[in-house]
Amino acid sequence: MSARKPSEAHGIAWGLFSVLASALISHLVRPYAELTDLIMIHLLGVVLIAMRFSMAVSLATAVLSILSFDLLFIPPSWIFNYPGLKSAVTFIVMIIVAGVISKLNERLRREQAASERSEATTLSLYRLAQDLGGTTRVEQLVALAVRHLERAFGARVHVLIGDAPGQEAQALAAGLSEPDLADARQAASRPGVVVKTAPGSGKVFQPLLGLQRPVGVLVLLFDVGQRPDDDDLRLVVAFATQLASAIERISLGSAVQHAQVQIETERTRNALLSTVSHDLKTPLSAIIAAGTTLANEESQLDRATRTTLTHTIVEAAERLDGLVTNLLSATRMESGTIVLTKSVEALDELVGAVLSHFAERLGGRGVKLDVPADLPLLSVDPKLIELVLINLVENALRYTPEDTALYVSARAAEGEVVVQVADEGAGIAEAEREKVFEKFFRGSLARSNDGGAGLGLMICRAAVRAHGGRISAKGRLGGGACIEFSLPIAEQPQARHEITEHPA
Amino acid sequence: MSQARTVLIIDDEIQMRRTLAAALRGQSYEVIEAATGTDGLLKLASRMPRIVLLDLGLPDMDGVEVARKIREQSDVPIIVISVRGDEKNQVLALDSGANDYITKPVREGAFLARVRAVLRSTDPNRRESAAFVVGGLRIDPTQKRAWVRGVEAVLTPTEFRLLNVLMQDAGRVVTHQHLLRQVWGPTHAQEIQYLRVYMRQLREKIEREPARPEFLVTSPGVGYRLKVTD
Repeated sequence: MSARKPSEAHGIAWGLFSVLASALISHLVRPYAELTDLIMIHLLGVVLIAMRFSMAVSLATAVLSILSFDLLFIPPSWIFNYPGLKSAVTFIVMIIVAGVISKLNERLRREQAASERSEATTLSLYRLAQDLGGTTRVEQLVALAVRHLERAFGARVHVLIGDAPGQEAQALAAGLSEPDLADARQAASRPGVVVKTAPGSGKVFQPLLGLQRPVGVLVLLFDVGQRPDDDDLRLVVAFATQLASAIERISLGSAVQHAQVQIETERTRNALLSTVSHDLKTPLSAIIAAGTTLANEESQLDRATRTTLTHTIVEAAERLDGLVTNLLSATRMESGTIVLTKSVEALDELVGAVLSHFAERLGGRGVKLDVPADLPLLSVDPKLIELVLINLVENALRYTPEDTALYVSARAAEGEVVVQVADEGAGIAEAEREKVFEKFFRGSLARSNDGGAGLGLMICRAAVRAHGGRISAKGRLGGGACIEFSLPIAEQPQARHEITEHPA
Repeated sequence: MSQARTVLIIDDEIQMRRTLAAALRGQSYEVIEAATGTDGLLKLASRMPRIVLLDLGLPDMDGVEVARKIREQSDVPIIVISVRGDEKNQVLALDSGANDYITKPVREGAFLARVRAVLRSTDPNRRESAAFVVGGLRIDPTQKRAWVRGVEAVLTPTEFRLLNVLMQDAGRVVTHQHLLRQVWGPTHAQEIQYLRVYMRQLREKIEREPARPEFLVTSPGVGYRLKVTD
């Protein structure tokens, strides 16, 4: 990594040119000038060369200038005159000037190269720090570091992180040899850089030491003919320090995040339990009360009372079942482990299945269906969408008078189907239309003993969102609540002869 | 020869067995109980029941595996009992030989109707004649014609094949896979969208209100059932 110098051949050419130019100019001004002025012109040429080129070139140029001056301008011309004392002093001064200037110049160039290099180093460290700061995953960070280091050193780079499994296999696949991997493993466990210089090439193993523990090792494999110098090694150490602290930051960060998620989950679970235990206990008490009464052989119950008690048990148990189903779904969605089992579904079929599920409770209620038969097929998880529809119909049944109608309608929109489930009840207050989808929120018009736990719409929202759809609460034209949601459509079957076949 | 009205219940929960047994005895069925898969298989061989009720969550072996083992030695009808939301295993059980499934919590009316439907559709004496008249539906496989409440419905060949498969298994759920294989052939087993399109067309021709079908009902995530009204 040495700064580029102007080549010697280049210098010699310029030297010769300077001698010729000095001679030519001197020849042109000769009628008007003293001999000492002509020497000055030659000296200027030598100085200019010395400022730019090496000592050897400068001295050679000086000697050539002296020779050409002596031959051309000290009479008699074309014969080398042994200089007199005065001229000899002039010549010696000329050589010294050339030497001194070129010496000064060389030092200047060296310092400049050093400062340029340290600037480049600072810049590449700065860029690395900047990029590392933005990463949140270790793999991303390693990839970045490798890119930066390969650019800075022109060497092949591997970063091995201590607790990332499969890394070594990956490094081997990326061209790290077995013995190098063994060296890397060894280097990782102790502080201090290890440099191995095989004939003609260099390998650097730099441990990555975090504040608390070693986190990995950095391997640089230089190409044949390239060897790291002391500056390179200092830079490697600087890179390694940054890299190690970035890795440590990420692993500490994810530990903190993990802990936070756990605290949040715990909090949710507690809230869920305390809210729900009340809702679970209510139907349970009814079941136990009615059951024990029936079981008591001494109690004198007439047939009608027995029937009432039995029905109480069945109704309470059904409510309990609905609640437990919703609770399980809510927990599943809360924990974020919801996996969609998508298939091609027809909305009219799902609606039909849900309505038949409610057949008894719908009784004489009018259900106004507007689900066109030519609606595009959906790409959805059928059980989840069934759950959404069950919850919406359940809400409509629960919160509206028994003689009012229910509306289920759907229309095709761009790339989706928009479904509406509406009723003729009291509706949802404008201010609560966002909040109804939140967990445990119950509308101000809901009665406390209606068996709802404030989970249904939260489940609906989670299920619809899991499909990439939207859900919102509206007012129905003419009064009542309306929940609208969108679902993605499936690739529609292509027209085939079979689809358009004719009756036999 | 199997016992005409003997039911084998394989379920590890005693309360569940007791309740199902009570409901069945109330309809004068004879009931045999088994708490494990192994015991169930033994009692199947020794008592030769007419129908098996099989819980999928057994302590000693997987319910689907039990269904497969039963099928290896017997054609006895199997109704699988499983929890809601376990569609994957329901489909697996149906595809490995179970005739139908019901989900917990079990409701008496629907449960007994399902048992009756399976018994009827697998009755060796009535199969030939009974399979082609179900409720208000009648089909004639040789002429490939169908009638709804006495009026002929004009069906395409594919629509007819679809209805025919469902009629053969009237009263029980037929999985999407099974329908696709039977109607379109094994190479189309994944093309569920054809099934959706044809089911829609078939309902248009058979149902009074296609969106709220009486005959061709949907079991979301599992398949279709030709509903049998007693």
